[in-house]
Amino acid sequence: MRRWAAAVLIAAAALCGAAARGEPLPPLAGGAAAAPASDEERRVWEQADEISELLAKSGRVLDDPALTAYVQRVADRLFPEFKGHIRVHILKAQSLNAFALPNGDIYLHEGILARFRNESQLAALLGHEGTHFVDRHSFQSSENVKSTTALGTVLAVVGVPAVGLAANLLVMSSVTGYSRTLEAEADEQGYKRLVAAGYDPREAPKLFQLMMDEVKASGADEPFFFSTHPALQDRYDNYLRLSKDAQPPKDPPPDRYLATFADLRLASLRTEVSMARFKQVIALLKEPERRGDYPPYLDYYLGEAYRQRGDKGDDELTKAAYLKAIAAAPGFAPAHRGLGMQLLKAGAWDDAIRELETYLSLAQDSNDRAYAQMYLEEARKRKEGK
Amino acid sequence: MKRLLALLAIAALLGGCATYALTEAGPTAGPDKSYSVELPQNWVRLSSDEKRVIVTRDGFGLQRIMITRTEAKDAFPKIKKPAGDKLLASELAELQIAELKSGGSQLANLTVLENLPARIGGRTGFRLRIRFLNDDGLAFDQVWCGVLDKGYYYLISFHAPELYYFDKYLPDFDRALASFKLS
Repeated sequence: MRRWAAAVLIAAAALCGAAARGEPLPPLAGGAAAAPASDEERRVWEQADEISELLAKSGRVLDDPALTAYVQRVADRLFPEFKGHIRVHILKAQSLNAFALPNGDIYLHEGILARFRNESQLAALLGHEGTHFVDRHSFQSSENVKSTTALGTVLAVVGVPAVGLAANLLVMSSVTGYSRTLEAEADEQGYKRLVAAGYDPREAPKLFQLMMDEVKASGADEPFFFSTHPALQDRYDNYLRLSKDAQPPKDPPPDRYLATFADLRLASLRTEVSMARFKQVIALLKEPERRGDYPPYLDYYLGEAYRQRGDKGDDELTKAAYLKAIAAAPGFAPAHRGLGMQLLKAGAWDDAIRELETYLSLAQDSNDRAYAQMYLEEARKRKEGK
Repeated sequence: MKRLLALLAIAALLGGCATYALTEAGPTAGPDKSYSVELPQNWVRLSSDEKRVIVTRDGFGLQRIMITRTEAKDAFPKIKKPAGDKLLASELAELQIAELKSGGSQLANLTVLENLPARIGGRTGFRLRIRFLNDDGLAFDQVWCGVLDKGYYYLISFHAPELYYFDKYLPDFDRALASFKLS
């Protein structure tokens, strides 16, 4: 058993006692006073530190100083008195997920960062998550104790085994979600931080609306972040109510979110395609508002998703999407390969040969040239009737 | 023989009913007789596994060759996709990568080092080489070779730590792969 897992098990009994008492604690003070108030709390922080260490060693934390600095800067703007105590990390995982550990480490999955459309939406989520830490939600109530399976599932998503972690109910609830009351408190306090930091509060409900839309369209389970209640709807309702009369900020911070996260967004899309998550890709790229967030050849990925889905009529949709990508970006080689393969399967030898030749001329260094060459030879043989 | 005895002793302690046998020279038939393969000699075969051929020399975590045969409709259970008979070799490889990545484990962030068409058992399939890190940061390499035949999906794979073991035993795997014949 891992060292940290053993530590978790040893501390579990004491921690469960604290949870069961449900004693309310004041929010953490900022600055140097942002520290555990009791031995019990210190132990939970130490265990959270071990989870953070495990995640860091796992290779699942994105090593991108510029992006990490960006999300950290937003967190610091929201929680200026907790600078250095709230540390934001990006996890290499595609689910729409985020969580805050009791020690102030906040983890945002790439998948959720790829969905934000501006800094205000990022700030809304960080305001919510940071409040869980500042208001010590891990210690507020025994209501937050959730099923042990959930933590294992959440960590497994990023490829980290949670053997033994299940014993720690307090740390666990920080990952799997809190009671409805505490989540609502995080909404309210996070919203206040959002407004105070000069972000556009009207973006907060939009964030949850777009996530609900995507979850609905893709047929995916709700993100783990919201796993324990009708959570997305709750978040949306709360932020909609809070922002009902909100006005745009007079002096908002400069927003470079879309440009800064363009590469991550595209990489995330590629990963979704490589995992054959075609429902998610189609849901994402069918949304007119989002299409502008991607490069002009984005329809190539839509074509890939239709091809992977393979329903009746998808051959035509696939072909149309590749053609659209080629029209928008004639030099984008993968769209020619995709179209060439579709044409090969359809028996359109001349067109297949043309597209595959174009691909091979454009993609000199591609690591899948051998396939394209094989398909090209096959199309030529078929054309000659061999 | 000492190695076999040691492995058998460990297996007896840990594996309960699992039984093992040393591989011999010459072709070995797959569990359903749909294929044959010449396995590396004097490796240890998990003979109690009735659905797969799985062999190792020093331990399944150090190097293993595995051959599976699955109905094409059940080829990719994690991504819930069949291996349709109209799939091109690169599409089959693409689904295999998606299946591996969807395991929700260390493989989620795998790197594809090589993805090539390959002749397997006389048919056109794919050969993938991937790398991933385990929880302790140790790199493992795997080769996955897949092919479709008569409604079944055949996968022949090799797994070893990248350090030392992979390169050392890759030729054994390649010899076995070259000997793979569909019935």
